[in-house]
Formats: sequence, structure tokens, C-alpha cells
Amino acid sequence: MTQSIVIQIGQCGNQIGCRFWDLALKEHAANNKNRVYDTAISHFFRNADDNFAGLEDIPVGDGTGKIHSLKARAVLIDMEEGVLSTILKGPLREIFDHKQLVSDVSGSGNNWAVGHKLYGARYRDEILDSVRRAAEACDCLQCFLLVHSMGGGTGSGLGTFVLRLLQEEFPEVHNRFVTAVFPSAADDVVTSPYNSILALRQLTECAEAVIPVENQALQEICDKISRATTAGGEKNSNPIKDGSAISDNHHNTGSKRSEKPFDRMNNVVANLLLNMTSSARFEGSLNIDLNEIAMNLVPFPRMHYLIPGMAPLYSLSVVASQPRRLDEMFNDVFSRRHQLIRADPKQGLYLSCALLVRGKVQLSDIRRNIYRLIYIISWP
Amino acid sequence: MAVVTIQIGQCGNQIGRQLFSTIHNDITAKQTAVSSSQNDDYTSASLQRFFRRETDMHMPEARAVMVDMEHKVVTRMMSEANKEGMWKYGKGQQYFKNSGSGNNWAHGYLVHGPEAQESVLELVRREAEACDRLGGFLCLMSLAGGTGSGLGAFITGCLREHFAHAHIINQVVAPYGDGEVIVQDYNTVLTLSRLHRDSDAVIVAENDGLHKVCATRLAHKHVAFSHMNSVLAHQLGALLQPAATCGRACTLSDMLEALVSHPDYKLLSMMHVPQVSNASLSFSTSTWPSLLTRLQRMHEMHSVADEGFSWAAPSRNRSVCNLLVARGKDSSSLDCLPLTDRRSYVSWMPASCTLSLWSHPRHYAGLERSALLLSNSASVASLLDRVVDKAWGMFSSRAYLHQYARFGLGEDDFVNSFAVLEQIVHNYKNL
Repeated sequence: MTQSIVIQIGQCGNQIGCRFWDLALKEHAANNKNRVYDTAISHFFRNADDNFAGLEDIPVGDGTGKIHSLKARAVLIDMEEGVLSTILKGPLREIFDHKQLVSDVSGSGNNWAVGHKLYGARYRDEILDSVRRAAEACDCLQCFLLVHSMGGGTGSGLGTFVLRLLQEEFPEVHNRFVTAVFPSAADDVVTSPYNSILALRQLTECAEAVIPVENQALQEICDKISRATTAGGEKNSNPIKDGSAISDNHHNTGSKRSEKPFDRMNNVVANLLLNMTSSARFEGSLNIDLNEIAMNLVPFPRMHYLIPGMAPLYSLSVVASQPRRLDEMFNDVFSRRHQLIRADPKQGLYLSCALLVRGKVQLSDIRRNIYRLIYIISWP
Repeated sequence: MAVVTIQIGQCGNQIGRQLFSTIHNDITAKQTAVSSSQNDDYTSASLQRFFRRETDMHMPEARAVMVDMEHKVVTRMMSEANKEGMWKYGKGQQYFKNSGSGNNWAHGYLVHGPEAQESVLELVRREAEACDRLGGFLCLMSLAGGTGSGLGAFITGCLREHFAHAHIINQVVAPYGDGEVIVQDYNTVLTLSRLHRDSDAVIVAENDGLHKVCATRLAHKHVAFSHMNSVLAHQLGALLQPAATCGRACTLSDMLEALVSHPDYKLLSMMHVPQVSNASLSFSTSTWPSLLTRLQRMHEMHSVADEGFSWAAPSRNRSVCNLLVARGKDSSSLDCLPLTDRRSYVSWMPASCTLSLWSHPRHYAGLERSALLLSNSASVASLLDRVVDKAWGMFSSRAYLHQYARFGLGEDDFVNSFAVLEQIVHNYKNL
């Protein structure tokens, strides 16, 4: 029974975080028909009893208590008000309470120094308070998941300041996972190279593992999915199963809401985070925790940049021959087009690699594919 | 004689649950081909050995302590046992915390170990006191993970310290050679070096071998961990159920006397015939000579599965000593000729001690005749060699050491463990 705290910083971080909480709620709703507050849901959500004025938390107990009011274990930080106020007016306003938000008015102006040095010093105590409050609500805190961008001012500056703060103040929770959105070649912020380099140094020193994500790669993945959506569109009905694409907004809901521009790309990253933590929340025959991910993939302390790849990107509504599709999935997850940064993993040397498999996949299928793939990849 | 089982980690708990189910199914089996008084003797001895019946006559409680660093697996195993409704785990005999060990041996051994020591020893003491006559401890654990390997090694050490005269047998499961966990070789080396010192006997089962049995002989299309666990539980049951030798009942000390005569040779491997799927059970019969020849061939070929041998370079498998457990009709008057070839045993072992025979006329698990070979031989050397090679490869580039150093395990500890393992491999290779 472990918990994780999500800390989202900056415009990018908060928008991704928004998608993450939306999809997390939908995933738990699909899995938890009886509306009980069990250990899976307690990983990311508190069960607050709002009858008491002091917002007492209801513990999991034996896992059969009803859900009163879910509150996310999150800290939202942004130095300008636009994004946070949109969140607080939107459908997710119920799961955040105002004590978890740290905000200012004017923003960082795409300047790492403003974010890190100026706002860091000014808001240090407030941020520490929010994090400490969230940490005290946890029985057994396992890791911090930070989400922010590298190119901007708040995300990269204040984000890395928070990372350093966590390392100093919570040394026993050594799992600090950072999902960092790196700028692509076609980027609209002029100072993003400087911001990224300054932030990169902090990430190398303070983070346990960094999962880099690149806008260009996400864009290409979304394009691929929408091409597949419209491919058979003239004659047949939509070949993709509705809601199964990793860039989709809504699993199993009928109507389509209006989508904001970066929503599809943010959904991909949100799905990545959900899948990574799925084994810590739900049970399986071979469980892997976030501890184990860090332990197995990071052979040397400073070499902790993990390339994420996901497959399949969508599932077809006509269920074609399963075994071939399954093997194709294993091939795809190593291919260039399925990585969330623009890199071809097969061209490089692998230090370590982890396959997190979710769903109805048999052990023998996995082993068969591992036998095959071991020879395609180059190891030292 | 009673055996207290300690299940540690995800693997240990899953196997333990299967083991108790297998044993209970065997106890309540109908067609056993022995007289009812013999059957009653057997069932009461077996019940006494593995279960307690203080509170409820119809629902025996397993003599088990369940240990894990997270609660998911333990609660699942308990509910599976309750669902079966034939036996259950004792209330309060579980120890679990909230966060796992993260595949980190040092975390399990140096951090969780001392934390858990008091509570786990208390639970073990409670079980041990409930036994009329304690035969020994059986520890079930894996070698790859963090809890099973690290915490398991620590608990074995504690048991040795607190129950200095009790017999401790560890059943360990070695992971797939191509890897389940990246640091599995480190964890294996560190664990085995400690177990070699603290345990009386270590039975090594490999996921590769069990997988082969399931895939080839038992013809499972999709082999899952549950299939492999049931094969291993089946074998352990065949070993530990009541049997007789030379007219008197067999105990764990008989097993250790028969097999572990030299402190340098403690690693054992298990092979069981016949390997038939449930579907073909009613169509197969076997005779003792055929079973024994098959066992002997499997032993020669270092194979747990009864087919798929690689005939490439058969090197004679040398054993220190073997134990044969035969169950079924006419098992006591068995002619063990295939297994008594003097050339396959070491020269310093007197001929009378090389092969011990246990038998019981009752059918085991619906098999008319079945035989289990528990051998102390060079089969383990190849596994250990491979593991030590890979681990040393990683160690020479100092990979992952910072993860272990974080919990206090330094390079010296690694070097010492490597030395112990090298010595074991050397001993077995030069049998």
C-alpha cells in the first residue's frame, strides 16, 4: 500500500497533469464499479470526508469503504494564473483543494534564473508546506513524480528548484522521477536552449530517473494515429476501436468534447505515467514497483535518462489474428516510431531495458519475444 | 514430526500456497490402493506434519509463516486458500509491510531484515511451539528479487542463530537465464553465499527447467507462473509426504543424513517422473524399471524435463549421493540398479551410502507409480557458473553498485560473496 505524489510545475506541467488526473479517474472508474476506496485508488487519491470542517482523511481500512470525496495527491505550482484558474473552473476542480496550489501573478518570462533563483527563494516555504501536507496524508510514500518542461522559465527553473528541495528535505524518499518535456527543433521559445541546459544539470544531480519526452515525437505519434483514423474512413467505419488510442481523451464515453490543441499529445504522456505506475497499484503475477524500475534501469548514478516507448498506439476494432499482433507489438516498442523522443534505440548501445506488459499477455508470449529480440539489440 | 514452512516474497508465497493445496489434495485423495488403516496412518501423519487442527476439526490451518514486504500477494494467497475452502492459513501468521524491497538485495537484507527480525521470529516461535516434535524449517524463496533473496537470507541466518539445532532446508527458485530482473545475478550470488553458511540444504529449482516441463511434457499451450508453481509444489510434496525407509518413518534428519554428508556440498536438485498432463493421466501406466531408467537418463543429462535432452556432449554427471523416493505399488522392493552405477558417484563415498531409498505403497497425486530423485550432484555447477560469470561481468564495470551501497553493502561484501560462490563451483566441477 504505497502512495505517490505528483508535482506539476509550469504551464506544460500543469496541462499534462490535468490530462493525467482525468485519465487516472477514468481508469479507476472502469476498474472500480462498486465505488469502494481500495488500495489501488489510494495510490494517487485521498478519501476526504467533507463532513468535518477540517477535512479529515478516511483511511483505506479493509478496502471496502465507500468513496466520499476523492482528493488528488498533488501539488500544483505555476507562476501565472491562467492555467491554474482554468483547472479550478474545469471538471477537475473537485479533486484539488486550494491548499495544494502555489501560484503567483506575473510568470517567469521564459527565464530559468527568474524561476529558479527568484521564485525559488520567495516560495520555498510555501511549496515545502504543500508537499509536507501531502506527504503527511500518505501512509507510505514511495515516490515523487514531477512533470515540467525544460524550455520555459517556471517549469524548468522552479521545477528543478523543487527537485533540489525534495532531495534536501525528503532524503528517505529517494525515488524522484521527472517527466521532462524537452524542446524540439521547431520551438517557439528563443531562450529554450539556455533554460534546458541549466535545468539538465540539476536533473543530472538531483533526480533518480528522468523520462525525457519530446514534442516533435509526440506530434508524429498523434499524426500517425489520426492517419490511421482517417485511412479506412471513406468506405468502412472507423477501423480504430473508439477510445483505445493513447492520444484519446475519453475511454468509453460517447460524446466528444472540444479538444484543446496540445490535449492529444498530453494524453500520450499521461498514459505513459499511468502505465508505469499500474503495477504498483493493481496486482499481477509478477509485480514491479517504481523502486524496481529505478533499481534495474540505472546502473550508474548519473546515467539515469530512460527512453520511453509505447505500443500499441491504438487497437483495431476488428480483432485480427492475435498472436501476430502481439509479436508485432513487441517489435514496435523497440522501433523508432514508437519512442516518445526522436531517437532510434536500436542504433545505440543498450545498458538496460525493461518491458512493462499490461493486460492479457501470457508469460510464454513474453518469453518467446524476448528470445527473439535479444539478438536484435546490441548490449555491451 | 512437524515441518514449519516459511514463505518469503512473492515467489515463496505463491509456491507455498500451491504446496499446501497439493498436500491437502493428496491427503484427501480417494483412490490410493492401500488398506484403509495404512491410509489413515498416512493421512494423519501428513496432517500432523503440515497442518494444525486446534480450533476447527474440519478446517486445518497450515503450519506456515507468510512474510512479504508488500501486502498484495499475501492477501491474495490467503483469499485463494479460503476460496478453495479445504484448508486455511492461520490468522495472524502473516508479516507484511507497505513498500517492497525494489529488487534490491541490500534493502531486503540490511534494512528490512533487522526491522522484521523480532516479529518474524515471534511468529516462527509460535508455530514451532505448536508442534509436538519439530522436524525442521522449510524456507521458500526466490533468488532474483529483493525480498525473497535478501530478507530470506537474513531470516535463514536468524533461524540458524535462534534454533541452533533445528534443520533448515531452503527451497530456492532461480530465475530464467535470459533475465526477469536485471540485477538477478547479483542477488543470486549474494543470497547463495549466505545460505551456504546458514542453511543445512538448499534445493535449487530453475524457472527454465520448470518451464520446459510445463511446455513439453505437460503440453500447456501458454505456460504461466501458476503452472510452474504447481510442478514445483508437486515435486516438493512427493519429497515431504510421509515415507518409510528400512521399516521406520523418514524424517528431515534422515534426508540430511542421506544427502548432505559434507559441508561443502549442500546444493540439491530435484527430478520427478512420470510427468504427465491431467488429460493423459488415465491413459498412462509405467513400470518401475522404466521409471528408474528415465530418471537415470534425466540425471545424466542434467534435465528436469523428461524429454528434449541435448545429446551434444554428454559428460558423466558425478554425484556425491542421491535420494530416491518411490511411491506406489511394490515400491519397497525396488531394484535400483540403474541408479547405483559406481562410476557416477565420487570415489570417497562408500558404496552403501551413495543411494538411499524411501518408499510408500500409497499412490501419490493419482499416479500409480512415481519416483523422485533428490540428488547432490554436479548439475548445479552449470547454473552457478553462468550466474557468477554474468555477475562478475557487471561487477567489473561497477554497474548498479551504488544502488546496493545506498543501503550499506560495499564492494568487499561483493568480493567475499564471489569468493564463496567460486569455491562452491570449483568443488562441484571437480567432483
